Amino acid sequence: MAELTPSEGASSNPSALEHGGPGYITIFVYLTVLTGAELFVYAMGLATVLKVGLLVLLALTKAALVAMYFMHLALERKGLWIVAATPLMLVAFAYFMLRPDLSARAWVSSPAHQTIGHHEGEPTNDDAHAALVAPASARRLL
Amino acid sequence: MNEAALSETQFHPVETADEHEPSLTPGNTGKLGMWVFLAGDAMTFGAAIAAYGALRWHNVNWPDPADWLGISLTALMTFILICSSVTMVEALDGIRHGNISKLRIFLALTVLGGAAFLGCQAYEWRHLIAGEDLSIKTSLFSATFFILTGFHGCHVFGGVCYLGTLLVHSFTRAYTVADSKIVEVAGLYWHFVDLVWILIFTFVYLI
Repeated sequence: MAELTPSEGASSNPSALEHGGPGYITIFVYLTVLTGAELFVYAMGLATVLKVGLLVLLALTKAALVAMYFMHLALERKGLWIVAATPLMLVAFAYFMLRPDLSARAWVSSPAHQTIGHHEGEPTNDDAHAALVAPASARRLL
Repeated sequence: MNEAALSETQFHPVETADEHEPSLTPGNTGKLGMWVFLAGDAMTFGAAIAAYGALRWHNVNWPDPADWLGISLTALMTFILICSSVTMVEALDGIRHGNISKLRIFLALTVLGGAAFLGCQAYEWRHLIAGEDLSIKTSLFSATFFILTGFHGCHVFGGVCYLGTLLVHSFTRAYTVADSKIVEVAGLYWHFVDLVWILIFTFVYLI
């Protein structure tokens, strides 16, 4: 009997999806639990580094679950994983290349004023800083 | 070894692969096309999120998102999108088993989920723009927020139109199991939209 490759299996053989891993409802439960965990971490008031690390980890786990089981990447050929993974590498590169430059800008590190399109040396808008601070009457949506 | 035994051990392909068949996704050229498109779209979103992170890092002027953005509504929006991903994959499962009714029902639920998400997003934007006087020109925080969520919202709207068209076609055309490829490709786009929102929800709202 001809053996189906993973990609052919994903396309033409539903049983490969049914028996190749967790079911769709199971993945849905995992995603819901992970979302709840994110909200719990958010509400706990942890130290920033720990909070950011946990939230990023949870988000990437959820993203991986969606990619692997809903987008069926787990059943696809490994070459397609390279297509899917390339943006991640480029994004990480872009972030680490941009951060040192942008963090050093005066309008980032100075607690004075911040306007869109502000050029260093030009007069600034005093109201711009006030706009960053939520007014006392501001209500959160929910 | 006799000929019968040899024939059992030999590979018997059902059909000869066309020489122009993509090796990554044999049998479904559209799937490879969609993956390549999504990779490019992921770079666009990724660049926007990377820029957001780089602008925010060590930025002493960045307000606390919790002071402006509601987490409960956004958590509901995230849950709606996750549910719509489940209904999308169930719709694909339906057409793969030749169950066109299941395809129609779950496609309709997916479209409804997308529309509900857009409604919640519109409500949030209206609150921020009309209620809190926050606009894309106000600050870097508001600019990055509206650009990221707006760009994603455009993708959701496009997905709703895309899936809505498939839903209409499921009624006007005689969909068969062979058409599952079309639904699979559409599903890839929808799951990508959900995946990006998972990241935006975390980076913009929670962190």
